[in-house]
Amino acid sequence: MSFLGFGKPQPTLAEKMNAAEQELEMITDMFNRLTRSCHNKCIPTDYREADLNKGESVCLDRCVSKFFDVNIKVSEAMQSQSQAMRGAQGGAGFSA
Amino acid sequence: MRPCVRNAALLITLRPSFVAGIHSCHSLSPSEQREFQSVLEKRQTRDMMQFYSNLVQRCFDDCINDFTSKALSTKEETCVSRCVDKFIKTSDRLGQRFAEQNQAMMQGGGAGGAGAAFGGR
Repeated sequence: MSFLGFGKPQPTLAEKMNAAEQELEMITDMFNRLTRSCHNKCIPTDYREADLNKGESVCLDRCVSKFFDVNIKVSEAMQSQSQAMRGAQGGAGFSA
Repeated sequence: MRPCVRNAALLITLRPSFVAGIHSCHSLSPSEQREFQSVLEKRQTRDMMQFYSNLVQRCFDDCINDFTSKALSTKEETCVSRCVDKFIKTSDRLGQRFAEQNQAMMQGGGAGGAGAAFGGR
């Protein structure tokens, strides 16, 4: 709470820990999904040898790169969608 | 609060630089950092268990398809062994690339990032 309007309220320890933990959760979830998808797409399931060959390695590198690109694209698309929705609601309010 | 845990990947290895990223970004004091450290350790144990369960299921699904005998054949045993090696190497490699990409994204731009979709918290 800010008395007399001096300064912004500091986040409490619980809030900070919560925020940090939630972000961690998000990042690890993203990494787990990426691992699952890229393994399914790049590694054939006959397991002919224990090491990654050159083709598989390159595939994995590209997979990560594309995964991030998709992440960004989806994020941008969602942001523009939500902005468009907000804009439409604001317009409706003024014309009432 | 803008998302800022760019470096928080790879709980399996808990690289110090990643954890430092979380600490500085959320301005955690040293005592808060210690508390967060214990949170991280609990998560690491849990994630390790999940990693293991995941791996068992994957190698079973991919390697074991013949139920004419109760015991594992040599072929199945080698398959499982290779499956484990391969998955761990894959996971390591993906982890490295993930960290690099995350780093590049953090340095590259403010608007992008893994958390930007969530209404720009």
